[in-house]
Amino acid sequence: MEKTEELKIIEQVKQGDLLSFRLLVDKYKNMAYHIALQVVRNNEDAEEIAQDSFLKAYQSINNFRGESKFSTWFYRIVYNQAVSKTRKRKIETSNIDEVEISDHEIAQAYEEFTLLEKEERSIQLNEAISKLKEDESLLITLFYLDENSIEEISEITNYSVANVKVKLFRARKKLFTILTESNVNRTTEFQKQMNH
Amino acid sequence: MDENNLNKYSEKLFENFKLEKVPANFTEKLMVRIEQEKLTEIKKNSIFSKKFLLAFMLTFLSIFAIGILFQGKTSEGGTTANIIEKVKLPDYHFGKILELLNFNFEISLFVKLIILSVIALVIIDLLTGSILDYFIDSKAKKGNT
Repeated sequence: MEKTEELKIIEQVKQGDLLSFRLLVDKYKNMAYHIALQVVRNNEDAEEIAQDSFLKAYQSINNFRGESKFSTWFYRIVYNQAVSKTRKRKIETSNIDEVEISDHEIAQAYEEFTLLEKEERSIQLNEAISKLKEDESLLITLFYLDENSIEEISEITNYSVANVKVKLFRARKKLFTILTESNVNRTTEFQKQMNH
Repeated sequence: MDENNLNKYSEKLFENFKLEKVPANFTEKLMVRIEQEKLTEIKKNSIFSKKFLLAFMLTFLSIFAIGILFQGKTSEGGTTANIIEKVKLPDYHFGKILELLNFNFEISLFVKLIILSVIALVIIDLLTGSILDYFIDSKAKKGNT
């Protein structure tokens, strides 16, 4: 769906066309769910947040003036809904210290990662992302999975551009640290099994 | 550590990464919800609310009741009353209507006033939603203490 086509659809939604809104739902539902999941870390809550966000977007579609991308406007709604939900309960994330990681270690972690089966890679990466803090995993998701620019992420999360850059840098470093650790753990497990 | 290098490898990590999918019935559930919300919105925005219509009907009934309860009574007022007397008003033969309905009975002025007060209270409460609530609340408070 191109931008002009999307704007046309949004105009139809503004006139009350529910079928056109369905097209938007189908396009953005997975990303909305994924964003919510990064913040609340619970499938049921994430689904509820995604539902509520679409409902809110439909009700306030007239407030969307097309100054930014529809996705940016909508993801902001999803993010706010998710944040207000997490305010009610504290989410536990593992506390990973920020350690220095060399270029060589990054390359090695990646090489070992590529040796895994496709499915295993997905599981490993999902696990690594879930070990990041909510805002870090959210930024990673928005930047790499939906290809939002730093400015768009800043608009969605209300963080300053500089803050997004810093957080994103930290998140990448942590992600590779986690992957390196899990590679080490896997090798140790493998050696143990071989010794037995 | 080179930031560009880190970014390059991160991009590679996510190359074949797939998003978590929403449950299969997600869209259907959402559409039903939106339809329901739309209906609620329409109900909310209807010109006359249920409360207003009820209050309107009660006002009409109370006028009818005043006609029945005070039939045949004329007030001896000042000039305004004299002017009204000069104006030919349609003759509502409530007494005759009641005779036809076999509904003729005597009620003291005190009882009539009580009935009218209750009707007035109900109408005011329907419009403001406060008087009966106040009594209910104070009763509840007493019950709790």
